[in-house]
Amino acid sequence: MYNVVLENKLESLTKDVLIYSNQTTDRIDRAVDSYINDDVELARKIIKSTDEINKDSYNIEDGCLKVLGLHQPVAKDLRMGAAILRISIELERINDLSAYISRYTIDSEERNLKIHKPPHLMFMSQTVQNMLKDGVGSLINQDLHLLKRSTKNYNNLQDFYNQMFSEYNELTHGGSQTYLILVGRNLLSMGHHVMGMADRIAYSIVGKRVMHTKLFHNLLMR
Amino acid sequence: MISMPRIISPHHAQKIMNVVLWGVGLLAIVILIIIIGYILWNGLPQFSLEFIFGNPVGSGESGGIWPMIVSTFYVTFIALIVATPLGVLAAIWLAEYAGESTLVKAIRFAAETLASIPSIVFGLFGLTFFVVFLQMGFSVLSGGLTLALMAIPTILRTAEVSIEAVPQSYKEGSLALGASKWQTIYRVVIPAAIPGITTGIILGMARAIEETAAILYTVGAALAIPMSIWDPARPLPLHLYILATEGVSLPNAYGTAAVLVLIILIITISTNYLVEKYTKKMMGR
Amino acid sequence: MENIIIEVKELNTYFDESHILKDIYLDIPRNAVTSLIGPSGCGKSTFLRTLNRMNDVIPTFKKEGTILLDGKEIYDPDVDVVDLRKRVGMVFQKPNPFPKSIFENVAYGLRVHGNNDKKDLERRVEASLKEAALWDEVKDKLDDSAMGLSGGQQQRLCIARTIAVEPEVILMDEPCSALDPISTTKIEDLIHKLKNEFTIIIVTHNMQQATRVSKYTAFFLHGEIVEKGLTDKIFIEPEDKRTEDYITGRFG
Repeated sequence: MYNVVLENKLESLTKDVLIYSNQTTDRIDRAVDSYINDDVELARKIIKSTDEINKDSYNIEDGCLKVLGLHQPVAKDLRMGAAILRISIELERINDLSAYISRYTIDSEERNLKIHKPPHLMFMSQTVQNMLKDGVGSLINQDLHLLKRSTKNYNNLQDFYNQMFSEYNELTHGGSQTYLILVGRNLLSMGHHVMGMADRIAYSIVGKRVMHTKLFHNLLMR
Repeated sequence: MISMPRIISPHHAQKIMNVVLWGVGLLAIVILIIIIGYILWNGLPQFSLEFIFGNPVGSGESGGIWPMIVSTFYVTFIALIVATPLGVLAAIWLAEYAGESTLVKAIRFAAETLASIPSIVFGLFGLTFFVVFLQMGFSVLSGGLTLALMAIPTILRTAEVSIEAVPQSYKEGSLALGASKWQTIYRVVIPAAIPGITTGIILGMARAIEETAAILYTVGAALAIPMSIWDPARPLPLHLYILATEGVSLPNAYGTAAVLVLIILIITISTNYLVEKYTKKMMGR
Repeated sequence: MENIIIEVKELNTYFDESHILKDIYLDIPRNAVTSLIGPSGCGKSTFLRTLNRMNDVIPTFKKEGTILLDGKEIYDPDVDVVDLRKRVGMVFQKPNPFPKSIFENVAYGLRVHGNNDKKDLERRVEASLKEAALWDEVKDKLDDSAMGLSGGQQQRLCIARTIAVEPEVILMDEPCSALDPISTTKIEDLIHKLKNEFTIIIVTHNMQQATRVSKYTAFFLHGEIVEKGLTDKIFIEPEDKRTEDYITGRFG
């Protein structure tokens, strides 16, 4: 039986994803801005609002569970529901990372280590924002070209990063700390993903949202 | 359909029909009770061991009616053992094998017509064919066969309807299990149609027992107990007719009628009881 | 490659001039559940009934093409239809137990094939009822009429009497559509169990049932098979737009 309700729900979920992703891109922009302009105020604001913004992720997730569980969609509808679910989680992670960037703003200001602000950061910020906009846009419009544009931009992102990295390397005379920090950075990011996973596992066992990521937001909010 | 103006409200119409239907139903029962009651009232006083089991004296003014009782059973028995297999098997053929060609339609029509032909016509046929042409003479056999001819259409009609009423799903279920058509018929269809077929047989039997006109011309009117199928006989209805119209003995006529009524009542009631028990067992309620 | 028990090739069926099934090609794997889905009146039931030659009773039925059971054409003149239906059993949409006792219902197929040994019948009736998950509910009332059972029980009884004759294939024509959800679940559980011993082909209108129960699916539309294959694939990544439209409910 064709379910108008299902179609409407999926449509409304995609709209929610759009709103959430716009907020996410906005945050990336402002977080990087705050770092470049040493804007501690802005940085604190961003960190504080992370929890609030990420509530969207839970709402979208709930919406997806309802659709998948109660309507038992198949084929395209099923894949769409699953995609929206995954996207909301990735957006959540990205918002956490912009909070971290804001943390570095505050830290570098406190320790007066704010000399180096290469333009690459801006370029990278722009590129990531475009990637995100194109990616979500491709979901909404079911447009593979947009999706391609998004994924192709990753190369640019990587390039900017590599350039910035080699400049920094020269400046610090190629110390091993750079790699140390990179590895550490990645491991830390993995930790974030695991925390997000744990959040969902707690929900699946208990049936209520019991484990918010308040833990590390408090960490960031010192 | 033109809509009629409402003279009576549906509510009132309902009430009126309630009364009418109950009234008619009760009236039917009352009439039945009156008839049976009247006969029993007048006939039961004649009952005695001598009446039931004794032989008639004279041409029936006194004595008993035992030979007539025996004749009745004898003739009816012959009629049934001939009519039942023929009627039921023909019904099976019509319902399951025959299809819907014009020939089959004609056969059905003939059966329907036969069921309504007056019994005296059958009597005449029996006389010319069995008694005279086949030289069976006035005998239980002639009478029985004539009655069989009368009973067959009734049995066939009722049995056919019952067989056709058996749900298609039973047959499909049986075929799907690997049963042949005939196995399906005798293992599933016939048992399911038994209540209806039995009713048909009872109706056929009733036609046979009550028969006077057909009997008149075929069975003779002997007062003795028929010893074989070739002997003439005098079943109860015939005896009743003779006693009454020839003015032999009206009380004994009532007595005979009472016996007849009681026999039919006993047979009908016990058969209905058995059929009900069978249906309960089959259908679980 | 899966072991195939029934091969259908270029099957076309007609009722007089009416062309019902058109160029059907389908392989039925052994010991698996294959479901046939599609809108009403698209030939699924006709197809099912062609597999056990139940359509033979309809005089206007005509069949062209090949249907092989274990490599032998089932419409060959030397094929005994009675034997075919022993190997290919059928369970109907509306439960249709005979108006007989529970025992006699299950024993029917055995008696019809000549088995009248009391001890043997008792043993096999018990085994079939156990396999159909009905034994515990009826073991104390085997002589009671089957008509006194609930709808779900009656359907399991019909399954029991079908498996009593030890078929190779069981055809099921919307077996749960007349039943409540709990009975439906019981029967689906039963199908899961049975597929280890029998090959099952099930016609269903319930998409979720097809996904729950079957490994393979064939989608019928207007007498043709539009798409067929693994159930998972068809329901998650259908290839034909018509399939997608039907299973997502955009028509049907």
